[in-house]
Amino acid sequence: MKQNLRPLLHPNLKIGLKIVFSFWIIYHLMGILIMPSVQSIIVKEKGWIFRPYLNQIGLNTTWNLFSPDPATAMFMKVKLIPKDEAEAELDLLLPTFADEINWDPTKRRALYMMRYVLLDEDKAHTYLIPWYCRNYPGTKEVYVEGVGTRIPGIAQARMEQLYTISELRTRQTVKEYRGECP
Amino acid sequence: MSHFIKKLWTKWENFWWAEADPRSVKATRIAFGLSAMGVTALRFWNIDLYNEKSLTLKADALNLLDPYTKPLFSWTFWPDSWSMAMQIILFVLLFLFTIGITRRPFIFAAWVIHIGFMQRNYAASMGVDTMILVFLLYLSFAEVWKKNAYDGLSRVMFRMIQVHLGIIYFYTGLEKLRGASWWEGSALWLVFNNTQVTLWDLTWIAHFPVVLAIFAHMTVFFELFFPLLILNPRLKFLGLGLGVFLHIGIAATLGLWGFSGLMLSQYFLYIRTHEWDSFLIWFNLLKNRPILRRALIKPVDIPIK
Repeated sequence: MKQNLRPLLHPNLKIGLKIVFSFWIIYHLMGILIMPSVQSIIVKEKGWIFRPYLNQIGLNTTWNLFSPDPATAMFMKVKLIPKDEAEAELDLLLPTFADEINWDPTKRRALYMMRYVLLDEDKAHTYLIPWYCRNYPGTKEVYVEGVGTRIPGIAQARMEQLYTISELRTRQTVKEYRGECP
Repeated sequence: MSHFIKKLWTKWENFWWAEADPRSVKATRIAFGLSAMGVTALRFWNIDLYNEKSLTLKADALNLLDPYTKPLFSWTFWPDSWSMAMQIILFVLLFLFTIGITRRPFIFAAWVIHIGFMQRNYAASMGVDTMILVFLLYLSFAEVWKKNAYDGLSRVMFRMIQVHLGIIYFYTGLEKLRGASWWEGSALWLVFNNTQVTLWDLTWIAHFPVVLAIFAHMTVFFELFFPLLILNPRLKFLGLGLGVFLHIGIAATLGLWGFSGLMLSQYFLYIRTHEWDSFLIWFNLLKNRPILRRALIKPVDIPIK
């Protein structure tokens, strides 16, 4: 039925539709070309032209996969101090496989989430600490320590003959937060 | 002047409304559908990241986004208690998409649910989720279930996927140029030593620093020049080949099968009708089996305008 109706479209109407559609192509194309360059003056000055549209469809995003430099392993130590002094403090390690190679793909989202919140002080205070307070009732205070991994360059590793993961990595605290539960 | 405009318009029209090969569309649909199903299936184990146990309350979820990327309204139209039900619906919609029993509203519904999940907990969104979002948006306006004769809207969407994929690769390459490790050639050393990413203990690779550097430089070269390579008919298969090599490498070493599958699924759209035909003839000559030849080389039904 649809096939039969198609020739009924007047050629001028068809061209008209294509011209209208071409405006969308140009607009959309300019948006996805310009907006990933977030530091550009063009984006800062004229980004408002594309931002509402691209934000709504989720395409206002940067494309920095494994860049500028690949990230190294990071994990989080959490200490929960209970309101009741008779109770023991609770120590948590996230993810639990911080030091091991892990094949479980279901753990990756939580890992991304931890990194996203941990590296931003505002987000850590606004979301992470309240999340522990909500999920561990009876907690008075929450301490969070973000631990990063430093890997020596390949030349240094060869020179010092560091050939296992445990020899290669050094730990360092990259973030520390403390918050009280209501 | 009018001749120039007419010529320009013809070129524009021929580019954006170019005919797509049904085999490319079918291969893309199946490969994308399977990859998206695989990635989405993982959410069954992570459903607590998207309900009342999530990092944020639903009313506060959009605040997790950077102010510059915050949308006007959230696509998460369902209450938290429906998360599992929505996840099942999304999975079923993607399955129907994969087997070709779908229509535009159903694909768009899958896109809405997918972006809804992303917006419910943006912190738990991975790069692969963004890839699904991009490609599913375009595919939701395309007649992916049809066997031939795609309408104008579908053809524009297939072309837009090709262009957008080129932009994604180009920007990823450009971002890598800001990183000292990619210039030095040691970036993959960092990746392989990240125990939270790699599948294997690849520390032995320290004995082959030049190989590591070559792969790192090749990655940047491929990403930066992918848009140019695919524009040139002679170099197109070099670009696609490098991409296949890169993504299989990523999948085998980092376990990112879903991501690699999604990216590679869109490569089929770059293959044109005569290239499919040549490939199948070559394949048959190699096999030299008449039964297989009859099965694979079917006359392509291209509509006459």
